[in-house]
Amino acid sequence: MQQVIIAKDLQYTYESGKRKIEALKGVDFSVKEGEIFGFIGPNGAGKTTTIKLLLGILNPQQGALSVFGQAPTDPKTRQTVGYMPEIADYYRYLTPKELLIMYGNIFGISKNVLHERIEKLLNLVDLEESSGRLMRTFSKGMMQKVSFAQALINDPDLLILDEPTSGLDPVSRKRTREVIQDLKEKGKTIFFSSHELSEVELISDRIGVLYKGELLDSGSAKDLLGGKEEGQSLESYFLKIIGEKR
Amino acid sequence: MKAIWAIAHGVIKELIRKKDFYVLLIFMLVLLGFLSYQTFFQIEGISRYVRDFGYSLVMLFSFIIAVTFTAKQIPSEIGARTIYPLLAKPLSRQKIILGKFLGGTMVSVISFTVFYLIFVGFYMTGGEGKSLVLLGQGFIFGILFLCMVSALVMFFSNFMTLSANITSTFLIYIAMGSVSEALKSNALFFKGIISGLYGFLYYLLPHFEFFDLRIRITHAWDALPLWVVFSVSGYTFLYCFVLLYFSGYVFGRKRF
Amino acid sequence: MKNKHLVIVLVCLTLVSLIAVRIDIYNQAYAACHPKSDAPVFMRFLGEGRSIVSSLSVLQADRYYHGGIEHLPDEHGESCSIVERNYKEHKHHEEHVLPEINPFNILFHIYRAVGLTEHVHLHGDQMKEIIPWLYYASEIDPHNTQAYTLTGYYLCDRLDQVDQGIVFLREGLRKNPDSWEINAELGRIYFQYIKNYEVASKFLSRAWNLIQKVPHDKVQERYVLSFLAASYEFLGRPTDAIPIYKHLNKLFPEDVYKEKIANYTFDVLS
Repeated sequence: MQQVIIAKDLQYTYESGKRKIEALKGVDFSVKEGEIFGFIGPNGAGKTTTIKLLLGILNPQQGALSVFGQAPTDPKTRQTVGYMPEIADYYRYLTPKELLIMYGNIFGISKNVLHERIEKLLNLVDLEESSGRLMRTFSKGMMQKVSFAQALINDPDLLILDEPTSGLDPVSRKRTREVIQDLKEKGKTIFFSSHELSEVELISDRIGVLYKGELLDSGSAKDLLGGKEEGQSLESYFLKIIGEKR
Repeated sequence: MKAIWAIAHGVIKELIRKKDFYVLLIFMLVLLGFLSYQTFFQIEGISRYVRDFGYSLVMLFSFIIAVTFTAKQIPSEIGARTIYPLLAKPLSRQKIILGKFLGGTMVSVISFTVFYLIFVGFYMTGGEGKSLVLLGQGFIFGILFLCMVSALVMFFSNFMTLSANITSTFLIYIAMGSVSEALKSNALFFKGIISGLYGFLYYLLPHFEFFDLRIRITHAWDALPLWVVFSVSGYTFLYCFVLLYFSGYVFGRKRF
Repeated sequence: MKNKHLVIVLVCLTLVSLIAVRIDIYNQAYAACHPKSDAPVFMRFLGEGRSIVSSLSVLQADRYYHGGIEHLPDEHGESCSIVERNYKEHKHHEEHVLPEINPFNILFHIYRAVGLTEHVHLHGDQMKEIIPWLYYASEIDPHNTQAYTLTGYYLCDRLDQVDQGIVFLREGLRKNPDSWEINAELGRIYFQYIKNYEVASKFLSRAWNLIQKVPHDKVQERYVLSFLAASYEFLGRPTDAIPIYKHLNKLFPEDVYKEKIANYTFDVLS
């Protein structure tokens, strides 16, 4: 299977005046085609920095990173990538439909395909009834659904999701999980970060544990928990591995 | 181009959905109506001061829309964190700047067109020396002026906060009328390095006064020669190009 | 617990009421000593800046008279644009010759082409265009006597609106009873247009009394006295006219007053 993401010795340091914060200290990982890769780690671990590097928003200072064999900074690479941010207060004076049209046009999707896809996506995220409402009237959960829909507007081969279920009610969470599974079945690659460890455990093929810019461990949930005490959850494993590092 | 236009289209939607434009439109109608209705010593047909106020209001209100809409484009994307999904799309940062610039310009040009049509309505109802050529030139110069303003604001938004950006642009707009003349006189009067300094400032600052046809339209002066219209257009395109080039460069290197 | 909150709220409300009453008493006492201006809010907001705004409005009227651009007389009494004047000032003060502008200096050429320098004046009915600015100048600052006299002049002399001019000048006089300028202007208009020399002489003699209390030049003196003397002349009061002509003759010996004096002296004697 083709490697969709390859990260080798990925390093990134934020500089603010004389202060230096090492966000990533040589991270290595790869994601295969059709795989769901869950990225977990506490706040400030470097998850968002990794996502920004994957999207070409930041340039790696050291190491190598490729997405579909290309540099993420090249806009063409992003043609087949979908991204859902953790929080985004989408244009409040637009309707979800208008937002999707705008993003669809940026991707250069033809009018007919776009309108058909928008219908499907709004249905998928249960927003068909609110498609003509201005987003300024939307709750956080509804915004999150819009965010999910926009990430799928280009029918991406790689989907990068940052906390995809935060702010959603339990029913919507379940629905989102199902959609992610459906996408996997269609051969899409999914890279996502989450604080919800049980969720990561449920849907990920492989998991990467990031802490203070270092990838502490990676593998399937079984591998990570294998050989450990029976009945141990990902949460207790995570707390343990982080505790050891402290 | 489709991507640039898609971003610009979003900004235009904002103009339609927000109240700013409608407030200014009503304010303008009320003010112009009041001025036209007012009589002085039962003298009929006083028109120049209505034209004067009308043209000034058109330019000022369009300027306000251009500045306020363009200035908040990038900061609001960052504030609402919508910049991330936008940056994750397959378009370069320079195209984002171009899209936002086009949006700001389109928004102000649409507002300007509506305001200008109202002004033309008042202009045509009374007074002497009506010149369609001059009105046409006023329209073209208005559009060019708004392009300049949007480009300048877009450039400033890379370095300044929203309020600092708006204030700086307003100050330049107000000051250029008199500063430009002083700079030019001093550049000609002094010699050597001081003259060079004044000359440099003269060329560096945006010459908003080039676009001001208020006196010509109000007092029915002759229309401008064609070469001036072309020169001012050329000047605007070059100036905007430089500003947008730098904006794109700075925005491209910005860390989000 | 609830009662405690109620007591606190009541105590606060009582204190607020007491303070409000105290402030109100102070305000009333202040208002009794300082009558409130009946000027519109905008005018009150301008405060002392009103005279500046009013003067700017008069200046704007002058610009309108010159086709929208400012013209200031140069040394030879000719008008020129500000741009031209700046160059001339540099020339005179520094003996500096204005350099020729490089033909490739496109910005300067645009500046020259866009800018307006031609010297024009309003004519005939066009004069009405300056009236709004003069009117606003008087509205903004009712003590701007120049605004009243100029409006009076344009209404009566250029726009054939003598009645309106007189009403406006009388309004100006009501607000500025000690203005020699408005008195003189009213006197002139009554003399020149209404031909009511009795009223004209009253305004002009009042203007003459007032002008002596303020700094003035002999041209202004001549303006008042020549109309006053002429009014007396038309009223058949040469004994009142002769001393004024004699005074004018002292001020301007080259003018025609000597002849007038000779004629009147002869008439009176015969």
